[in-house]
Amino acid sequence: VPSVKLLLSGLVAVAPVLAFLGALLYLDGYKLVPLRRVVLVVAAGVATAGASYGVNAFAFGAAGLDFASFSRWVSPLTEELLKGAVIVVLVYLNRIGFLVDAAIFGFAVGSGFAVVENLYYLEQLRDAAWGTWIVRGFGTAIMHGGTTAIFAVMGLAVVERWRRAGPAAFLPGFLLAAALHSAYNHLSASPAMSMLAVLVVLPPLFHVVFRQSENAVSDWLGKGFDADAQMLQLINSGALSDSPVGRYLHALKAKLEGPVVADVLCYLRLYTELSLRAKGILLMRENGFDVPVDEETKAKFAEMHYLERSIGRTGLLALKPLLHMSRKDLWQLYMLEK
Amino acid sequence: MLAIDFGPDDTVVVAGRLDASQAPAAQAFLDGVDGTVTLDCSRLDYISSAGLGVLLKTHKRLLAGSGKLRLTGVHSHLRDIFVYSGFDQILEIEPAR
Repeated sequence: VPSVKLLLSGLVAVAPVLAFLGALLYLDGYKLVPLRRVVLVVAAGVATAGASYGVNAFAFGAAGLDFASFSRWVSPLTEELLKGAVIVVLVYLNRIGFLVDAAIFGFAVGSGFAVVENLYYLEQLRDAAWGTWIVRGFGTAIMHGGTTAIFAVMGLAVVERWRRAGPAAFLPGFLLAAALHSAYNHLSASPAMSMLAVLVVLPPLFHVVFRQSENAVSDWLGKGFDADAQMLQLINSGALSDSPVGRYLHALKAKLEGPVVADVLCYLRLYTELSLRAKGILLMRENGFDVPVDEETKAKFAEMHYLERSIGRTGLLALKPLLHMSRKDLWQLYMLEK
Repeated sequence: MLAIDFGPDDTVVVAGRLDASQAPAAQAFLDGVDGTVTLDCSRLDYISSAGLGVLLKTHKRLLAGSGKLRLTGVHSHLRDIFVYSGFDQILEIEPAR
């Protein structure tokens, strides 16, 4: 039976990082990240901790270093690589649209990792002093969340700038995350100082990221909403064929079969309607209204997927100039559909 | 340009374009109303996301005081925006006759 001291030590070791994650979710003004998905990403972080245990055990045997050197130079690389892999997958799948969700998902991966790591040490060091769990809970655990959040934010920022998500885009974030992790482990001789450094550096960093991201969301939301509304009005006005969009669609008639051209027009309308709905939901969330996605919208997604199959890859490529299909635009549709 | 003022029967009449440049003036006016407020939109030509934000903020504030914001005389081109964006789920919207 675990003693009261062991239970309290466990609480001190895992509660701060989860509380920090909860605070990040609360500060997300647009509610970009649903709680269910955060829980899944924390679970992915738990899995990376398991993988990290195996990888580090193998690397420790192969490297021939003492434990202190290994924890300073090797484990930061392997651990940041494994935690970062979850973020890379999320970015590739367009599940991350803005810096805020990058920061939250990054911190969530690190939280899952840190919870497992601290529980492992709790099992191994049952009689350790309170100071150990205070440092591991407020320092090491939050460091794990913070470095992966930095990896995610930097990775997304570079992907946005380069407009492609190649592996090189994630390299600067990985190097910085691993360097910070290594620096933290170098301070293991003075744990209170390393804990203090984490608690002093991370909150202002997150504050800046959240503020910049909220401005970016607001800007994208305003411009995108108005552009979608104008496109919808153009389609509904009956004057589409006289517009540049209409002339472009006429030009497509020569290259696509008749029924496909009809589906292209339907797709243009449906995509714009769904895009407008997604932005409307974000605007409502910003103002404190949480409106559920109705059945009609869900049916529209089914129709849109049918149209995508009918139009085919070539037709969709031809439509790209007419539609807003940036990472953020694709992300918002995913957000709405789920 | 945007014109916003009280009309007959305590309605608020809004006319012109409710866009980003006019949103602060509209917000300042609507901050002064209370209870259930009817906004006559029959002369409203255009509304952007900034204008919608003004309506949402006002509706939220009025709800807190057991009131609400009702929109009347909404033309079809504006109604489409309210419906497709889902705003019709929280705002009472009466179309133009």
